Formats: sequence, structure tokens, C-alpha cells
Amino acid sequence: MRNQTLKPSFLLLSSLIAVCIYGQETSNADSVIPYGNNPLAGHFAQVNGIKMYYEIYGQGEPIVLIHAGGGSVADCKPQIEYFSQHNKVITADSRGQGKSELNTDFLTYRQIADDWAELLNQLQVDSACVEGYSDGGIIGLLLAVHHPEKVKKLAAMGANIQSDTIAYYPWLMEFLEKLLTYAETKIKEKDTTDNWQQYEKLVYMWTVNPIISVQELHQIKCPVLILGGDRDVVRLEHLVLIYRNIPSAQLCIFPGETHFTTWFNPVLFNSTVEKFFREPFKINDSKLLLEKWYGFDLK
Amino acid sequence: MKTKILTGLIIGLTILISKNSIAQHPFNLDFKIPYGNNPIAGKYLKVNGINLYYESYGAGEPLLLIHGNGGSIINMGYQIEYFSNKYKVIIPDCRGRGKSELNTDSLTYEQITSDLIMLLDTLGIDSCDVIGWSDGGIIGLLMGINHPYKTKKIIAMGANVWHDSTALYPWVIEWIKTSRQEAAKMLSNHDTSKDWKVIYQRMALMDDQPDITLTDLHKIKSPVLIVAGDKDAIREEHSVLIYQNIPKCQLWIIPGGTHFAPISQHELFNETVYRFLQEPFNRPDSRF
Repeated sequence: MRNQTLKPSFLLLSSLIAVCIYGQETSNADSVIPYGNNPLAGHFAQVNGIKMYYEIYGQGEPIVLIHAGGGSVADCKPQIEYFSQHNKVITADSRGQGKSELNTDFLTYRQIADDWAELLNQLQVDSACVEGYSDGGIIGLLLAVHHPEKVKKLAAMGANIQSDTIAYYPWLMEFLEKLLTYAETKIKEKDTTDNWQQYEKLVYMWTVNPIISVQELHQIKCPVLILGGDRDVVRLEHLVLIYRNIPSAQLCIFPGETHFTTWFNPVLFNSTVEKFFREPFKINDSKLLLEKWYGFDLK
Repeated sequence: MKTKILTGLIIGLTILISKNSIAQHPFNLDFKIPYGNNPIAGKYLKVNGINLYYESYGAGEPLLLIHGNGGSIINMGYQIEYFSNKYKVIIPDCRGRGKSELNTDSLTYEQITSDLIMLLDTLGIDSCDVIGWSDGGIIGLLMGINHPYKTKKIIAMGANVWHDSTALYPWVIEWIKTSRQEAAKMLSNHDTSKDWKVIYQRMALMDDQPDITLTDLHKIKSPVLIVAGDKDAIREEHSVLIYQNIPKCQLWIIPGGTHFAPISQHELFNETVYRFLQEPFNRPDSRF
């Protein structure tokens, strides 16, 4: 979300990414799949009063991919291609983004998480491994809190549980405020180059949401992998706080990486998440090992 | 190899549970080459009033490995194995450990650092990359602070820069204090079943030191990779703080990792560290 927020610059960034990702494949016409706009894989579901767009790829145990804020299914390309080789990948446009309708005056993460739960209900997915990136990670956490039966394991990349300078670096808060002003100005100017009404709802959500308490995190039953780059937009202290307050959690900080690891280092990101989904979850403990190590030494 | 470790662990556990009196090392450290006790690779050097034992393997750019508090050369066998194909690996037994003499009543990190600097000087090594684990990570950071011309890149795994409960988990501090008391008791009982003098010095070292300030960290010129397990003995917040105060730094928190990752996750550890050593230091930011 934070990544995608700045519309003008973000568009630039995303086209850059698109060039990086798609550029390699232009020589092979077969592999160019229009993710996010693929009639062969795309469907609409009637969910909580909106038409919600989703795409399905591959076969096997289901894996749910949730895109970042202001994005769409298209952004999940590196993850769709990786996970659909051995799994059934379910991915969708969150409310008010991509091809999914907004139909609300006040967009919230909770509402979006409820939409995803209802979509999984309709697709008869009892429970699945969920990978969420940025806003997708927040939605994943809310799914795990409020729809625990739906989430087998959760991998949340660059997610935060509040929207302030405790969670974000100050530059990002300033940036979100600027975006909001920008959208409001466009609405006042009656600009029609974009759906500014819808955009304003999304940006407003970023500035006031999420509000997830640590008590809510304590309720999470499933194993969770909290991920971030060592130069993420979310403060490392905040990622540690989230990690610490989920009963069964692991923490992964990628060295020399940013909030955009999903795109810029998909090999590292995908393999880390795949390993977490595949291996039985366990919390390793230095205490036991240390006592044994030194027990050997002292006894 | 993994199954071997696992089997070793299970056997170790079983023996520990069934016969509490026989202590078993929790990890498999069987290597083809007798690291730490290898006459072909080992040498002694007189530094700062002690005989310092070290081994060297391979050829190429020099890479210094520094083991942890309760360790010796063999504990970094997986790193010697991996890196000796790529570097000239130099690994000492730090003062009082392995085959190196103690010869002090007040062991300090600065003293060990000075020993290693003298070792490098004697070997004619102007500067080198450093991988330090636990206490070895602290010594690596001290080399970067006090002898900035000596270090190229530094990897510090499971290192702390001070020793209170904001840096270490309370169970670590409690355990260090208990072990220190036990060693003191054994010393006063004139028990000779172990070298309690060395054990006491080691425990006191962790109990009373280090006292590196954030201002000290700001002085480090070398690129540094701070590494910790997500269930380390060091608080994640402390690793984050160290990372934030070194000018050129990356942070790696290993999911499902412990303080013992250089052994238990040696493949991932070695590969990630090697990438850091090989690639030009880069500091991308999310800020656009």
C-alpha cells in the first residue's frame, strides 16, 4: 500500500517493475499471461454487496495471495508464477481496487478482510496458506484474527498494525498526507482523469487505519511469518512488536532489501515463504540449546 | 547432513534424558578434517604474553573467523569447510579456549581483540574480512571500531554491544550469573574436574562486558552484516539498534533461527554471508 500510494510516481515505479518483470519474457509469447486481466482465469463473485474480481491458477493445496494497497492481481505476478507450479493459487482484487467495486463511503481493512473470507467461502476453500504483501499483510492478519478457520498459515510482508510514526518512518506519514491533499484537490477541481472519489477513500484509509491491538494479535491461532526488508517503510521495531505478540510466529528480516522485496528479489522472497508454508511449524529455542551446549562444558 | 545433525540431536537428547550425568554436545561436529586439532594447519604464535593457537586453510583473500565464548576452532567447522575453498581462512582459538593460553585474571574483549590484531600483523595481513559468532561478533565489531584499517567487511552473528536485559533476554543473564557462581564455588572447593579458572573468566566476561556505546558503533567504517536468529539469546530489538547505529549496515533476522544458526542452519548461513562478502555493499531504501 504505502508503496503504491503515490499515484503519479507510483505509476512510474510500477511501469518500471512491469518492464523488469515482463521484459524478460517478451521473447516467449506463450508465457505472457495478462495477470489481473485474464479472461481465462478471471471471474466475479458477489461478495458483501460488491462484485469482487478474482483469478485462479494451478492445482493443489490452495494458496491465497493478497496484493498491496492500490494494486491488483497483476502485482502478484512473480508469486502467482512461482506458487501455481505446485498449488492452486487464489488471488483477487481487494474492494475498491483493480476490477472490484468499492460501494462504501468508508473503506476499512476489516471490511476488505471480511470480503476475502466470504470469497473463500463461496469458493469452498475451508482453509488455506495466505501470503499478503503490505496492505495484503494487514488483511492477512485480520483474516487470522477474525476468520481463524480460513487461515492455515500466514506470511505477512511489510505489514503494520497502526498508522502513525511509531509504525512508519515519518517520511511515509508525510507522503500519505500529501497524497490525501492531492486527491482532495482533484475532487474539488472536478478532475475526471481518474476515479478520484474512489482513490480518496483508499488513501484516507491508509492515513487512519489499520487499528489492530496487540490483544487481537494474541488471539491468532495459526503460525505466522512476519517479513520485512531491513529498509522497509515499516519500522523494524514495529515488525518486532508484531512478531512478539503473535503466539506462533517467526520473523524474517531480509538484509539489504526494501518494502519491495516481492518484486525486486522474488527468488529470495518466494523461497522463504514457500519453506515456511511447507515445513511443519516449530519455534526453535536458543535457551535449550545453550543449556545443552554449556552443560556439555560445565558438567 | 541435515539428517545427520537431527539424528545427532535426537541421540544427544535421548542420552541426556536417560543419563543426566553424561553430557552430550547438542550438535554434530564431526568433520573429515580434525579442525582445532590439526597439526598440518595449526601453529602457535607468541602474542601479548600468551601462546595463541591458530589454524589456516585455503588460499586467496584472507578471512578471519572468530568463535564464541564457550567455543573453539571446531565450532566453526562448517564455516571453515565452506569458506576455505574461496578464501585463505584464518581461525584462532581465542585466549583461554582450545589450545590458547589464558594468562590473565581479568579477561576482556579488548584484550582478545588486541591478540587477534597482533596475529594479523604478524601474518602480514593488512586487512581482511571477518566473520564473528557471538563473542566473536563482539570482537569483530571492536576490530571495526578500534582498528578500522584492519577490517574489510564484518559479519557479526548473535552479538551484543552491552550486557543488560535490554540486550540479552533475562534467562541468558540469569544463566550467566548462575554459571559464574558455580565456577566460583568449584574454584574455592579446589575442584579439578574442569578448568574452572577459565570457565569463571569466560562467565565473568559475559556478565560484566561488553560496554560498547552507540557512538562507538558510529565509528565503524567497514560494511557490516548484523545477523541474529528470531529466537536468539540477543533481543531482536538490540540487534535492530546495533544495525541502526552502524553507518554501512545490513540486518538479517533468520526466521526459525537460534543463536546456533552457524551450525544448525549452516548452509543458509554460509550462503547468505558469502553473498554479502562477494557483492559490492549496497544500501537500497524503500523511500522513493
